[in-house]
Amino acid sequence: MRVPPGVSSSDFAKALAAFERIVGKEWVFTSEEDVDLYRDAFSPFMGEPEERIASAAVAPVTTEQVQDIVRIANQYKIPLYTISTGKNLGYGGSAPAYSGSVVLDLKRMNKIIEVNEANAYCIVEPGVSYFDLYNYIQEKKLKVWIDCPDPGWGSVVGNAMDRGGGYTQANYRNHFDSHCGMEVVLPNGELMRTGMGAIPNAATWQQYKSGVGPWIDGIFSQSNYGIVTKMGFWLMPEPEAYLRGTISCMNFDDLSAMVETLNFLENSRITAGFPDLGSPLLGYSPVGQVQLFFESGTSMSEEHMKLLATVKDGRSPELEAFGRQHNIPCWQVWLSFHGPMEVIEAQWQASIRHFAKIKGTQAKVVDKTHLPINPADASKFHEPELGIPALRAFSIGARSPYNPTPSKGHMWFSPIIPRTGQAIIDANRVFSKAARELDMPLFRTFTLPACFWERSFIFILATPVTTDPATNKKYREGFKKLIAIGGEHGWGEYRTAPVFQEAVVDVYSFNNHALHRFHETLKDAIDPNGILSAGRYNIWPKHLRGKQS
Amino acid sequence: MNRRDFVRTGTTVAALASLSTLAMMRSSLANPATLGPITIDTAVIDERFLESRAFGHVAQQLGARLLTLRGDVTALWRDTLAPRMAGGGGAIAGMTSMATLLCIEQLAKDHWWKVVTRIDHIPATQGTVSHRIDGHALAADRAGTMIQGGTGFAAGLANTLLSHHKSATAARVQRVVEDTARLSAEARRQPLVSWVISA
Repeated sequence: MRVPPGVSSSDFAKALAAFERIVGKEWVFTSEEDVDLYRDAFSPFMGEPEERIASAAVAPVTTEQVQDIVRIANQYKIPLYTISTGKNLGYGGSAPAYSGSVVLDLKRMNKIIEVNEANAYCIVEPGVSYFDLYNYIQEKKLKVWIDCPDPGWGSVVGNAMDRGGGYTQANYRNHFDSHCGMEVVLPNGELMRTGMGAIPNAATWQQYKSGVGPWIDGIFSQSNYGIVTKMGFWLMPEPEAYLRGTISCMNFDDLSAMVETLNFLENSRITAGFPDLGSPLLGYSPVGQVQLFFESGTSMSEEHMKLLATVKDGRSPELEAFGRQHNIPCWQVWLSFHGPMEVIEAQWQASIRHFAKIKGTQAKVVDKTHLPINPADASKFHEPELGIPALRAFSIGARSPYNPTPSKGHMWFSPIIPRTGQAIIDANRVFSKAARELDMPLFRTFTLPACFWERSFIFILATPVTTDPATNKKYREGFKKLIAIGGEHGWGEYRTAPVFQEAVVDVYSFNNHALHRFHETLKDAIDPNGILSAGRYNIWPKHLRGKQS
Repeated sequence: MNRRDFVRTGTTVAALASLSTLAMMRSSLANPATLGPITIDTAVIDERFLESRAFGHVAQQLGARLLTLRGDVTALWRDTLAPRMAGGGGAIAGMTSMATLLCIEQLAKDHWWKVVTRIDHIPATQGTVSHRIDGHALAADRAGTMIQGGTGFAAGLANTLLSHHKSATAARVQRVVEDTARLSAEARRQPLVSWVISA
């Protein structure tokens, strides 16, 4: 049996026995086969000694059990690593940041406490998946939508705590921002509620976020200051209709104007659905179409494919001439709208009018439908854009004629950059040069960012995990260099796997790492024994600080 | 590729395991899995693949409930497999794409189910197929023997996995078996995997 570092075998045995008394023997996992379920299937240290592996796991079913486990962990100084359902593959999965931690697995805490249709919110426990919540809403025929990531297999709470995003309207896509109220078990085992939830018998816990005094919800995301056991989320009232269309333009130089227009339309809420950027000419699919590309392949001609080889930093006069000759747009913005048909048609027309200021733009309606759709027709759409959790994303990366050598997994490289056309061009120039020098399979072609967040762009690129340790080592080191190079240009990752959290946090270094030092000060005050999720986002307890690499 | 013993069989048998992989194999056998014999009562197939359909046909003849998908596992998971695993019951066998198994394997963790046997059917350069077996002894051993016997591997594997997991031992076996069988065009484009998943 594995034992947490710094903990004696006898203390560990006593702690496990105490855990068994709290949750029942069947919910404490110590066999290698059971604990291996918590390994990161996409670990960039796959099969190497540095892979981060748990010592055991414990799965409570009530908040009181969580509190009791935390008290026992304090007594025996057992490091716990909290997961909800552990599905964030590419960002670490369910493996701990600190090897030897006991995984505190909350997936049995799967109660949907309330879905309020009139005020469009829900309260859920951490083990509730997007599928669970969607099914509940469908079964009860409630007129609200969830906003889910793609794939939609994870935990609603877990995705928000890791600051994931989705695909419906702007005010729901940022999952942490769309939460309202938390219940948290603190590192000493005490229970706390945030916002209006701090009022006993609160009447507006899910209706007003900040309560009074410092609003502290943010410190519990991407951190190790507490264990969230309940969380509220605002839901989207089921819209009457959906419209999605494309705006295309022919010239590379129109990119900045396209982005500026998109920003204006979004910031004015003329369009609020998930916007998507693609380039038919450069062969770059928008996020919502990637799975179709991997399922069906490209429609590009051989001549078109050959001309792609002439592209440098996104530009090629020959390719642009080819595009104009064959009416293949250089840029394509996908806009989507939810609401009453007469409203979204007007929003679409206003969007066309604004984009028409760019010479030669073409508009096309792709989908226009009343809602709800027939469930049998869901696969005709990118389901998450209709609030439907799906698993089709797994066609991405699977071996197919269009992806003949799939990897064993991936680690997401996901820097945030400004929402300008020039930033897209600059980031491509910087990262493609660096990736070539580092022999990394990223930015090999001109790459477009995603538009999950309202005010910034985000690149999301899969760095392969292979079966070859030497290749994985090269990619790990290259990944860290790309993080640092991004930092030199003012760009930072929004989220990363534990292996890279030190490198990412190191970029956020203003005034001698004042922010990180504040995080450590908080850790020391809140969790003096350092029992909660040691090392998460490089926040180490005092006794382990500086001893990890 | 850790903890795998690479044994190539065909016209000749040659052990190709490196010292390190042999050491890892010994380590694995010294720590046998805690699972014992299991009964399989359900089979999952991807109807797009000839081999998968053959697997399902035999599984059904052996009394298994047959569940089908075509690439996307969403509806099958949401409507059938998730409630099925939540309710316990017998193990599930399948022959699907690797992407589908990854998906089912990760989701099955929500119910503490685990893949106990998997056989990757990797297209080899000569148009043949390389079967990478990792699973419970007896069932995995018999699977290797069956493949070497030259019968159609898809139908044969359904028979072997459904029959021999009932008496499988907990120890795991890892081996690679080369096969002269020809894969369908679909299975060459998107390799298949046979599997057993159990509580």
